[in-house]
Amino acid sequence: MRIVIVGNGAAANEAVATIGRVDSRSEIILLARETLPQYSACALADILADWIPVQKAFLKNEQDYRQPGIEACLGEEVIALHPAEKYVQTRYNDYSYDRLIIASGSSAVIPPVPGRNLEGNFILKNMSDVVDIQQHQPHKAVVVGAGNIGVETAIALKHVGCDVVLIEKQEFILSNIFDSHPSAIIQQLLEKDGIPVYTREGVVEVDGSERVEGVTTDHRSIPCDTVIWTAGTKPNVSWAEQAGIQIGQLGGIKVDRHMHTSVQDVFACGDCIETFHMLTGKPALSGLWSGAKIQARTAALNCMGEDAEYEGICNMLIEEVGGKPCLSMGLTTQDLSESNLRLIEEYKQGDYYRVLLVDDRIMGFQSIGRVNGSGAMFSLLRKRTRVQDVKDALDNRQLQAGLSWYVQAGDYLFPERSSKED
Amino acid sequence: MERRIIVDPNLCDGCGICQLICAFEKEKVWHPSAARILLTQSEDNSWIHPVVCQHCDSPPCAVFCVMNLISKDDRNDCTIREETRCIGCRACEAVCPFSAAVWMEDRGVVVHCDLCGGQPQCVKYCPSGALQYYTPEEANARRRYHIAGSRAVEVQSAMPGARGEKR
Repeated sequence: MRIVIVGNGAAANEAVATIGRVDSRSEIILLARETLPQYSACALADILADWIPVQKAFLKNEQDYRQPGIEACLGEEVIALHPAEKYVQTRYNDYSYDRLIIASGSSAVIPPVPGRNLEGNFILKNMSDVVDIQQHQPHKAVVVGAGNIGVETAIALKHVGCDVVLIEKQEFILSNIFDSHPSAIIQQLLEKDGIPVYTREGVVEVDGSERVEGVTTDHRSIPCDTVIWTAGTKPNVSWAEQAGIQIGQLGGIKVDRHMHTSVQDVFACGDCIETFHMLTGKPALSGLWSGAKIQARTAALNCMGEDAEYEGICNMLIEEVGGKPCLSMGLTTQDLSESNLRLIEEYKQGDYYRVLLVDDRIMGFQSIGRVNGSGAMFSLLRKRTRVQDVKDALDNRQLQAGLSWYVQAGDYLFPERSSKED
Repeated sequence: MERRIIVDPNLCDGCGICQLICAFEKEKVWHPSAARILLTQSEDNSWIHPVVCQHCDSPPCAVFCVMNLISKDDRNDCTIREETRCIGCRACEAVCPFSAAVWMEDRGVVVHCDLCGGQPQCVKYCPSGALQYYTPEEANARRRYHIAGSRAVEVQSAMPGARGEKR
């Protein structure tokens, strides 16, 4: 069987690996826009901060693509798909397929403001962006958009001695990941590290005649030599959409639980797709490394004729801010606004956490400063275990000894129990 | 199946030697904070229970690792990691249900138990015998044998006229 895989990120490479495990005789053709071998996009900010050398971000070398049964065409961007004739078209060649897996990823979005094309405007999405930023040698930068990439970028630039200002249009930073209260704590940590954060501010214009000289928001002007746009991403769907593949309401390629698109023999996975959230069942974009890998496995197995079902998106994100790990899993209050939400929150020895409960089940967990035991929380959240059941188990001495790792989750869920002992 | 570190919570008295041995063997530090084996304890301190990497069949740490450096070893089904490639993002630590992925702050990497290449030192030095190194099948068989034995003694002593001799 001839399988064409479009992309060279987490999803595409996981699909290659999975197909190789299931059936080593199938013929795989990998079509990638970038000429570089696979690297971890999650390590880009670490390179920018000089925490790791560039080479360390690479997960494969050219040799790894030279394997029997795999033809890797790096630097060949797909420009069209012809589902009726079953072939994809790049600028140089046509590639026919029996099955197609689209893992084309996503692109950074730059809002249409004047001056966004001046020299000194950057995004942080690909390896080439890091190289560009480093060559530009920023001294004063404005980072627009305080999602996880924006926060990481700001910290990274600050670490290499660049003055940084972080701007966010929403009411608070990291609003897709954290609730407003933990977000405010993280903002304080950033400000303590010398990164001013301005929320509820949108960029009106990038100033300068040839190169960036400043940024004007709806509240102030900030002189700077660099603007980094981290204001969100959108799935890469252009040629898939033109080929008649159904696109979801959030702008990603619509797939079913088998990662099958609306077109026969075409599968999709990773940042380019739109699936559903594990806990709510509502449509959701994926956007993270871990999700991409699971989806790619599902897509690859189904494409090989096996029956694998995707369980839905359930993200976990961890960032280090001001020397403290900040982690969030599941949903936020913003996602759950209409439901009967119950909160458990505590400050303990300078650390903070909150648990979001709906119908006695954990829907989200956010912790600043403490990681220990969060894995137990994550598995309770994914298993949709009732908190009462955890309590019953922990009340039973025999069960408790057999479930000793859940005691750590108990520390989070029943703070009144552990504090009683102190 | 391959051998794993098996914990008998009834035998553990929480002496912490396993942690010291682990830290010394792996990190050359004589301190429990550098150990890859963890001691969990109950809310009322009635028991202490060592927890260590369970080498899951489908490990969440491997899924969440952004460097793809955690995998299953084909030879012995162990979960292995290429530590030198770790960038210290701590995602594996945050999703491990057992908190068995341990952050080494000094080195900026996360590590987990590698069974000392087949000769776990914590088991070797465990004074109470709470840590054992068996295949899961062996461990189950031993547990059944042990429980059946103690039940037999209970039944025997409850029988009318029985002398209830314990062996």
